[in-house]
Amino acid sequence: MTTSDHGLADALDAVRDALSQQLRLAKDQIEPGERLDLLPNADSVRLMRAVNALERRFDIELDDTAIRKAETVADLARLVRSELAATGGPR
Amino acid sequence: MTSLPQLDAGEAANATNIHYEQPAELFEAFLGRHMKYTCALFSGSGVSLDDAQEAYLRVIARQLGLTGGERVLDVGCGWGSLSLFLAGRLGCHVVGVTPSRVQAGYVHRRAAQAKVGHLIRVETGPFQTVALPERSFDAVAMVEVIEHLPEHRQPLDKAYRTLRRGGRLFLSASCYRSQADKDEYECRPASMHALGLYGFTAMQPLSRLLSELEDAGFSISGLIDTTAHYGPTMEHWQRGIERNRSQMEVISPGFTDDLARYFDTARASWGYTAKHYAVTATRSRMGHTELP
Repeated sequence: MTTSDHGLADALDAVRDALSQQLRLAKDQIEPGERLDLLPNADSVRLMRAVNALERRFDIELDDTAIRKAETVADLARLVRSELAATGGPR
Repeated sequence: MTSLPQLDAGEAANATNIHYEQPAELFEAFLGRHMKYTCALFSGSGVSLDDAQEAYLRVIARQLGLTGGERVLDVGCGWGSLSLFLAGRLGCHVVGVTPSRVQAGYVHRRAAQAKVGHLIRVETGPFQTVALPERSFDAVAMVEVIEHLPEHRQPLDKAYRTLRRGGRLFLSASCYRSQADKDEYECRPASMHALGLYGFTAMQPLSRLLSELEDAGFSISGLIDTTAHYGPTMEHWQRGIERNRSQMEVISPGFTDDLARYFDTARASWGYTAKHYAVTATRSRMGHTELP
């Protein structure tokens, strides 16, 4: 596994944490390929709270346009990872 | 019906270069020691132009939260008044941007003379197209340059992207007093004269600039009304022009009359049809964290 895959795995884990908390789902119900808006219990407020939780956890601010474009769980994880890479934050 | 020309970034830069690539001596004749071709701040009557310009430079540094050593992007750096001030007084690392080769060369010479050549780099070209690394600046200054940019969305997006998170933008501009004033006066002969003198210049009401800053993602964190200070600034410039008219005429025949006419019109407009503002904005969802 390369370093960048490793960063992505961490980001994905954090995204699944945030979504499971905000949508009140078991973490193993949240697959990387699933569409965010089709996850059980998903609505725009809960998804925004998940984004907020991720931003606070890593002390980052994700790009607003990119957030709107993120369709899947994995998209959001990639966004978190690339923001962490750009800001030199915790990987 | 006259209307403003539709120019792209490169065409506008070429147009303004007609004004800003004239010899620096022409401007040294009336701008004072700082060579700052923008609004000054007068703390009282009897304050010299040089002191009033320095007061404005200090306000920019304060609004940008600079304390020393920060990385600053000076968009539309002109003859380098702000870049030289921030490098010389605060040890900031400054990248200036100007499409004028004359101004770029002048700033490099002045920086070397002031022994801050290692702190200042000037990129020559339109801001919209010069290559600048993202998230690499603590502060961006756009001092009276937005008027020379025909389209604002792209350059404001770029200013936002070049800032680190939490970095600040200082943007000052002459504005129409309202949208109604813009509709009424934009195509009047005096406005067309300004357009001809500067190659390209166009004002917006403040509300439009603020909405453009919001669209770029900024949090608005401060606003200063400096309208009262531009008339006195131009009065000082006009007195300099009168003192040095003959030598300016040798360098550029007819230029002094053109300038004087423009300053007369502008001085009549402050507070009536035009305003002058400085906006501070932050690349941050929550804005400044300190309490107001």
